[in-house]
Amino acid sequence: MAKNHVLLIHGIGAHGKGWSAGWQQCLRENAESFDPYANDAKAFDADVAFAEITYDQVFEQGFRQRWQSLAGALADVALPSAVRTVFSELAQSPDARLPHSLWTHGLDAILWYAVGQARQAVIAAVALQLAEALRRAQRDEADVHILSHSLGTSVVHDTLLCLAAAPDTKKAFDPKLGGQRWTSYVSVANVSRVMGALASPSDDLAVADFRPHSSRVQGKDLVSTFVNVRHQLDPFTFPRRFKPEWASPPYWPIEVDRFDEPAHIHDLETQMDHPLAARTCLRLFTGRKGMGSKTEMDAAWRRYDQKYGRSGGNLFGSLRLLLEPDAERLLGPGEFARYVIAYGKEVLA
Amino acid sequence: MRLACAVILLAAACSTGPRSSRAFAIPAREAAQDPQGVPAFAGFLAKEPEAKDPGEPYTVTGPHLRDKAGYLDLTRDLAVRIGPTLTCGDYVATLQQLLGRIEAKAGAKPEAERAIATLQALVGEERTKLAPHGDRPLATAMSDRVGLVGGQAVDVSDGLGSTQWWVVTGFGGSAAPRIPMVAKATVDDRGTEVWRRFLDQDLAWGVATFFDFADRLQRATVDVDSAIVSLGQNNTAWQNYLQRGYPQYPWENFANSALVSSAWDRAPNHQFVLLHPELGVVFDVDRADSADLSVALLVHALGYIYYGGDDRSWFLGASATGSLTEDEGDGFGYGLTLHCGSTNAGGVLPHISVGLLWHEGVDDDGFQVSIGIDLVRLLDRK
Repeated sequence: MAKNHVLLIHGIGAHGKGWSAGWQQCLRENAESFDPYANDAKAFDADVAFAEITYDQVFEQGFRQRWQSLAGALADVALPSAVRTVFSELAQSPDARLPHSLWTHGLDAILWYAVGQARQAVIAAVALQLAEALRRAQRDEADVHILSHSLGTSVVHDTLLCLAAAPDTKKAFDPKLGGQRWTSYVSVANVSRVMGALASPSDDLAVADFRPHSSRVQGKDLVSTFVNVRHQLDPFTFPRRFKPEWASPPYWPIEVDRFDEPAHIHDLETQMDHPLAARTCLRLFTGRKGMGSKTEMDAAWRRYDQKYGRSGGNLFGSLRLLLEPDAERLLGPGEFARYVIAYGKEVLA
Repeated sequence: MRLACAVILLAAACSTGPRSSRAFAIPAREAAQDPQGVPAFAGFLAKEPEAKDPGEPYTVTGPHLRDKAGYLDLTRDLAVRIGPTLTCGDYVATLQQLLGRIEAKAGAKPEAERAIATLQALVGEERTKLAPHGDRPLATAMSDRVGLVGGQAVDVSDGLGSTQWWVVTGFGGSAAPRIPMVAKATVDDRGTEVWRRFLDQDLAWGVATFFDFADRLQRATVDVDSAIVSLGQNNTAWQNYLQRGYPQYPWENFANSALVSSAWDRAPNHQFVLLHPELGVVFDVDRADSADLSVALLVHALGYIYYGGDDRSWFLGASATGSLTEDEGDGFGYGLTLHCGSTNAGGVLPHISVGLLWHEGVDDDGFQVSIGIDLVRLLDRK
């Protein structure tokens, strides 16, 4: 029997093959709250096929490794101390001071946001993978859904727009020209406004076309149904929050407020475990739009309340203060850096 | 009496439930209430409220729907040419044939007659829109923005009586009244739902099948293969430029992003070299026969690299270079360096720089030749 295809697109950080095991497990466990998956462990895998879409390799192989190689080759050269420090950091040598997480996580965000060629190369890589995934789905006569998290929401947003506008791809990806309309798009911890394009990555679109609140990535246009899941305490979504005034349906915003540990608030699993988020997404991904009876939902809520015992308070209040008086403004590089550092301190505290 | 109680309880529960803005304006004739107080949509009367998902075929979509006997019975042997070659004529004829089968099973109830009339209007709408395209492939007509109404399965929000319901229907782009399959209302903030069916099950199979099959016919025409060829070449060009081209330091990446024109589907065809240190060797031209090589730090101050081929498979460029060797007596060298290389993953020579530098040493002046090789790529090459 044909399955629905769900394309998974990661956030910042290193993501090797098999990176989505945690996401898949989270969805599978939530599905087991509902009929027909409650009593048949294999039923979910029979209904849904996952495919990983990655773009981390562009940052890794196109930038980080190249810098490391270039600077590493100069390790034994007698250089002035200031210059040596720079190359030592670039080479990520043992005596480097910058934390490794800056290279694996922070660099992704910086390159995507500030280096136009990195953004373009990522779009090129993701566009190819989406097209290949679509071809597989077409052969299976499957519906195609997209689930993205954090930086992945910005990547998907730009890629779908580019695919629907370029001369070589628009016939296949613009629904107005008979092309693909993605069955559903689920964004979790959506940062597409925070990480919005500073310059258009496309010859065919202006930078204004990439503004998420008015772009074509919305229900009944490039996607049929758009679900946005957001944790109210997720500091990554405080600045320039994604909150379009679109109608429901086809847009379904879901707000999450509970957590176990502050460091997990941004995680997809924390947000997807919310019973309404889980049910909405699983209904789309499985094509069973009536899934989740009152009895099943009551049980799901009980488990959720047990697992996630904390909510609200003034968590990350200091971060909100940094954004005042206007969280909607575009943060300058210095402000953005201060914000990220403050977030790190809050979470580690 | 039981029905009246259920409706009263439902209305009371919904009075505190979440409300949603409307998806788009529902024609007045669709959202209505029967004179006896029964919620109606486009002339279809809602059946009694149900606390559980009504199941197939009301709420099941996609592959699960297509796998069921109710669907297979209606679609068997239809549209033998489903795929990219499907013509406009085949598309309309197939829908007409499917409609005939649905009509044969629907019976003579008023709701069946209403549904069949609406489906006939939808097929008529598609026929009219495609008439100018004759027997061309459906994909060609669609790429001319013909704007078909089939394939636009949608949910709409609507007030049925005093309650906000989401009505599941199809053919959202049509001017014809929509056929409601089922409606649901959320009655509390924990997602408890109540459902109402609009159609009897046999008719619901027909309508659900019709909506899905029109969508399926259209989607099969999407030509992804030619897009993949183009996207594959584009991605290779980006990989060649960034991963195997002339390497860039962070400041060069920033500068080239700002200065060099490119787009996601148009990898750069040139780059600038800027304050680019590189380890190389130099030898004195006047003493070439001695084979004395000195390790040197080459700094390419400013340069230009051109990339050739649609996939940016090779590069050639030059830069103004300064050099310092281990032997302080050699002094500072300066001159011009040529850079060339293959960027293909299996290229024989990944990158080589050859320079002619003038140096003013303590003991003598003269020309030096510098050579730099991207050893990392050479050794890592797969």
